[in-house]
Amino acid sequence: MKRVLSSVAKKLPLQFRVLYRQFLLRVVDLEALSIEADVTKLLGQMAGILILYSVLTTLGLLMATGRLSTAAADLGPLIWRTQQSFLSTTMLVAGLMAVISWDNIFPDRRDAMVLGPLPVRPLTILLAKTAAAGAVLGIAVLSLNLAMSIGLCLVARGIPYFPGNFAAYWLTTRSCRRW
Amino acid sequence: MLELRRVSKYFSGIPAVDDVSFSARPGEVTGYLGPNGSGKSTTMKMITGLIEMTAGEILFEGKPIQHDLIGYKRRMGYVPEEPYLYNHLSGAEYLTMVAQLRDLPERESVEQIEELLQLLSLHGDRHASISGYSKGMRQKVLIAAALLHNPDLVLLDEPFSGLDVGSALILRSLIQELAARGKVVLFSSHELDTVERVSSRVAILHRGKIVADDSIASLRSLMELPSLEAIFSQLAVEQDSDAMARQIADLIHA
Repeated sequence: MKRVLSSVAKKLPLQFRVLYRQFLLRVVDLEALSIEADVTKLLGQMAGILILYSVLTTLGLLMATGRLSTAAADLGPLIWRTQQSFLSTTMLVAGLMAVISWDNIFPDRRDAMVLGPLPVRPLTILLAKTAAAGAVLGIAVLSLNLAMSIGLCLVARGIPYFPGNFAAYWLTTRSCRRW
Repeated sequence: MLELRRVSKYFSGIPAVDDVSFSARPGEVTGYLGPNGSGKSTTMKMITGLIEMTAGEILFEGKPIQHDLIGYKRRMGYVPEEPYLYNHLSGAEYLTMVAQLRDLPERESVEQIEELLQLLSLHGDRHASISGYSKGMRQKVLIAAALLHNPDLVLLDEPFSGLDVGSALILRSLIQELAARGKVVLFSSHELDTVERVSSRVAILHRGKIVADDSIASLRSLMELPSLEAIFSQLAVEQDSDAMARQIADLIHA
């Protein structure tokens, strides 16, 4: 997977890759952090917290469904409530990430002064910024939903329906992130 | 050759630069002088393509820069007045990023960056975050970034800002060396003494208009004044500086 991703990345123009990496590191407002703050570590910790929340909630769901009878009437409300709660949490996290990275979504004076005299097309800068902001949002949503998407789809209708349910889960989450 | 033809820039209808024409030739250092707010930095930003002009034309080697702005930027090095850098990077990382964005060959640029950092006395701090750099260190990073790709056109906007005496002396010699190697050097500064020593020609700007554009020697003999400072005072300074100083001293005494 890593090899595939790096071979895809290598096909992208160098300027885009360089700018994407810079903007990804700067997606959090660095002025709000201390000098020693390590943004990659900060993003890793944030993803870790979201994954932990997701795994704990999934384990809770699995334990709860284990104690219930397998009748659809018993499982239905619980699954429905869990999914609703997760969609709300996803919206909250996406909103929070948008607020945190808002200042860095658009090119600022610093970007203009640093990148302006360099032979870089404005479109490349814009695409790199958009890709970096999207990547952070994507990492947050993925971290939050991965464990739950597997757990919920397994519990809901079992392995035979897993691919369809899994796709439906992510389609709903993706739409929810859009809004 | 860099040539400005009747260049103007208006901000909300107010002229910041008004009908400015002058040229900078290869092998010469052209000084660009003017009091605060006269439009020097605005002109520099138009020459770098950072802001668009309202009217006029800027030509490099006879071609309008807007025709191939990316190609023009490949051949230009610019040290801005304000030391804007990416503070989360170290000096070495910043220069590497600039080299990559300029599409310079990796191995050569790594060696060049190391040597430049060494020559600019930044090697010891090359892995420290720029946010911890002093103003002079930031200025050195900007100078290194502007010269990394061996540009044909060097634009320096207040390049001595924040530099210590030793570094300023090196930069002064470097500017002359670059011109001697056939580069077009346009150099804006408030330090009249340095401009007089380094530049062969000067263009003086006052309230957005060019009031003098000639060699320093010609200006001296034409105006019968002994120094660039005297020429500048006559052309671009409106108030009596001694009287102003007395007024300020009186005010704070009272």
